[in-house]
Amino acid sequence: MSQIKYFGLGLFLGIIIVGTVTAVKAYLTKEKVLGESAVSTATLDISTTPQSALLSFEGVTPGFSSGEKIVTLKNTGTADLKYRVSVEPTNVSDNNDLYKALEYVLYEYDGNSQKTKSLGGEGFLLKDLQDVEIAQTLDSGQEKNLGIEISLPQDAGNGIQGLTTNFKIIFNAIQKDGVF
Amino acid sequence: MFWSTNKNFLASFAVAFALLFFLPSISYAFFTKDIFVNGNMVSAGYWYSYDFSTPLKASYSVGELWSAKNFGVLYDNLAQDLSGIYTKDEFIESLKDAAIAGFEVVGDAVYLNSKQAYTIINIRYLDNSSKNYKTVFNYERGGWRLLGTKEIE
Repeated sequence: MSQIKYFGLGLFLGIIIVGTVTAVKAYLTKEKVLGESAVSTATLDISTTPQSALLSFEGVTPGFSSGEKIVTLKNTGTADLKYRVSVEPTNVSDNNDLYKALEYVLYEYDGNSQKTKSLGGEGFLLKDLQDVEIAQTLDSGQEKNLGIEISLPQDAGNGIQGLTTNFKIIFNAIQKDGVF
Repeated sequence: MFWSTNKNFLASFAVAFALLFFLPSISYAFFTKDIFVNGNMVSAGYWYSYDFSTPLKASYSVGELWSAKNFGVLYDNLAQDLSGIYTKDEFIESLKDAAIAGFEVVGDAVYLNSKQAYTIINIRYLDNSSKNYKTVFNYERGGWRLLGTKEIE
């Protein structure tokens, strides 16, 4: 019983203290009029080159590597941004054993087209490429490359012969100081 | 003594603090934009010949192709009487939603004559159910090609 009483007392005092602090912060203010001000929002926009079909390969067999394919990302808005990358099968039927067997490597580049980092490699499955944050940010107007390489491992099963998978690469951009 | 021993008091204070200060902050949002690079495609070639040299080996090949949902290669190994009914795309479309977990060939092949035989294939589904299929093969094009399946008890 006394514990319940203390709990209630604690809750009451907590609310009083926090509320008082809030109220004091609210009332002890000073106002000064500076005349007309203008506020306009920044724009956040991004584009890619190419816009489609970055990766398109037929007749691949175990041991296949696409080699590095470059996509150029450009910040076409006024706000600086950062971004992350995901891959999704286009349709449910594309989420097949071929899609699940493909591996990937990402290569990051700085503004001088110098390779700065690679992510992925053996054992990194394309299907698991989800919300991977890229360390290279894009300031307004800036463009940078991102390299993507996909491969089919040597031990890919015979069952994936003749299969086809279609997928999309998703770039999810957010303002530079934002939190995904 | 009061402050050090009464955990309820401290807990309730923490709850009040969290409610008044932290919870509103999670409603903050940022500008975001998603763009898509569509039209990416990979198709696998062929590097292994499935064995259709006997009805039993053909049964395992059919089971493997069925389990892998590789209905394109399965279509290539149909008997003509069956492949003549469907186009390849129609065949793949009709089977694409099959939720298959695995298979087992039950018993040996039964020859109906020198050109036709059947086996029993047990297909296990993702919902843990299973069904037996009488799987009939015709000898065509130098191998035993799938003529059809029929569910049996």
